[in-house]
Amino acid sequence: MSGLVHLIYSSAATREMSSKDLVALLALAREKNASLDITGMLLFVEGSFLQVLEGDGDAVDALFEHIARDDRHTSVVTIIREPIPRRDFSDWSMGYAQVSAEELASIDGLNDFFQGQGCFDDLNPGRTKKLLKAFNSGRWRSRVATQPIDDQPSVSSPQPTNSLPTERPPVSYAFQPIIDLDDERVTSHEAIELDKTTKLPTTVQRDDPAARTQLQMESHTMAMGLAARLGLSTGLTLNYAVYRCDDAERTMQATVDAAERYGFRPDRLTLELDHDQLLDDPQWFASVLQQQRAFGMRISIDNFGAGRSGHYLIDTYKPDGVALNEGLVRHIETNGARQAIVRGILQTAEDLGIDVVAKQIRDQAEVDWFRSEGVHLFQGALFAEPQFEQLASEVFIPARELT
Amino acid sequence: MIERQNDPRALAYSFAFQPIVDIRRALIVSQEALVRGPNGESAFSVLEPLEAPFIYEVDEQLRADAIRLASTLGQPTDLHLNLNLMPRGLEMSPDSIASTIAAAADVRLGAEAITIEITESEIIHDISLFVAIANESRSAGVQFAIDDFGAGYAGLNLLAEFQPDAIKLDRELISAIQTSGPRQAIVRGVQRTCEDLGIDIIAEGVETQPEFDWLFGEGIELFQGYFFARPGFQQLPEVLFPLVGA
Repeated sequence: MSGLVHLIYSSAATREMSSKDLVALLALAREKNASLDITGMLLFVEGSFLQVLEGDGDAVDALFEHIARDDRHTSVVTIIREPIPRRDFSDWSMGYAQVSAEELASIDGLNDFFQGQGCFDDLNPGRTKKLLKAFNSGRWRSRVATQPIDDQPSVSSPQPTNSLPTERPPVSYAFQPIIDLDDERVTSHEAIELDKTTKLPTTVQRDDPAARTQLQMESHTMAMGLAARLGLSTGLTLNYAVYRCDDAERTMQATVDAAERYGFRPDRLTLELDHDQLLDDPQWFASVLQQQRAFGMRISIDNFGAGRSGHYLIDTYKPDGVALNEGLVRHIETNGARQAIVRGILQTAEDLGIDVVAKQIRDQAEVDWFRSEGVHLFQGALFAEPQFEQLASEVFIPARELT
Repeated sequence: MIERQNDPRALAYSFAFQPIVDIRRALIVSQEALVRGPNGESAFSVLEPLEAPFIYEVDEQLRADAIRLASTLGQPTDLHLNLNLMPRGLEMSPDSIASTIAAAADVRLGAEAITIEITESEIIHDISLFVAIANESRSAGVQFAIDDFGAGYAGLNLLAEFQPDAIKLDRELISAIQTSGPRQAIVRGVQRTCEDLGIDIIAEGVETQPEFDWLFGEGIELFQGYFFARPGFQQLPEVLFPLVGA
């Protein structure tokens, strides 16, 4: 069974669309959509399309799949697809904003959607109307994107785990670079803990807090010792699993001691916090962090937006950076909801001077989207896989290969 | 004195209602039902003794009772209710929103007059199941709001899977926002996301004029809080609307 849904997408025209082209498109779409019992509208503003399709879920999906392949447009982004109780449009129409009134009057079936009568103002208040308003105010305007370069191998990287088993098998570290594409250099290496034998992420044993504290203290020491032996010259990013705060001072002190022993100035270190729990006393934990920041250590929130890593952490920790992971970056170039979430995060980050790292990047299209939004810090298999007990010997920089 | 209960019918409680207002249109757009003790005691006093899974049964029953009480206090034609729901209860009892719709129909209130507020004190286990059930009731016209947004319970990533009709900014983010740069930056970012996804923003827990002024100045138009109206025990409170520029 598939009920009534609407699907709203945006895209960029691949060529100039004259009024005549649009009328032709309108006629074609009307006929086809009527036969499928699909209603909605197509809006064209300054080279960008926004289309609303309403109808039976399966029919809408099938039509959208077809539309997405049409070469008259590109950069197709699904903004939303959701069930609706009733249709907003009684048939299929097309709006064409910002053309002269005379021109509109001369073309049957084409109207100035935002100024004309019987159009925007008559819509039911609801999601469709809000999205059309956002589009008219300049949101969701797709520009023709640069062509992605040849397919890069899309290999999934072992993901860092921030937790340690109590009965610990021997662990060691892999290092994965974080790259600044603005000046094409590696800014830092993240130490990722792996089981020494299997080279897989270590697994978590939650219920022994004392053991976890001990392991947390040892892990930064081991990672820094290894990084120093490998002659690391960039920054070093260390994971910190935040799940209780009463041991924060001890674990933090162990990190500071290790940094001193292995010759890492605090300003080369980034502590990346992962929250799998809410803290009893986040303010206190924040005050411990502030002491470290006073010495120059950077604080970053890992996996921002996921699990317990929400907005309140920005207010509580005032971090130097946030990292966006799998759940927000994967195929972002076609996922409108992820784009909207990330744009909001970028807005907040920009206002507060917080660095944003796009992690777990697998392909060029993801990089292109983030670059177009001004993100310049990246990590992921596209650039360099984590190397077990080694620093990456080669880093892929889009447009040219660096060694 | 509090005993562990396991019969929903034996539980004594009532409701207060607190308006959600649209400032620009000077309208009450909804009344949120807030559980209270039989004599107006706190929600905590009613809910605290309850344990899972019994609490989820009660959760469902509370919505039906709130609808019945509200229907005796106001005209069904202008009534819109915001009702709380524990998402895990939905996972355990997938019919619990359908039963709320049925309770509304009993007092001649349509599904479109109901907004379900997802109260997140537990992380949603199975997002796809939750979304499937929620979407089914959306087809019937029920709207959804995410409560306490930004508090760290309902993760931002939830919006990637489920786009509610509204989010309610957590009052921790609103408190003294006129002086807090990080809170302002967070709210501006949330606004950006919500505007791009067609999601309304409700500022809840607004208590002071400067908080209101800042939020309204940023374009937020939906509000709830003491600044507009306190919860009214067994009544639908009126609102004194602040004067705002045209």
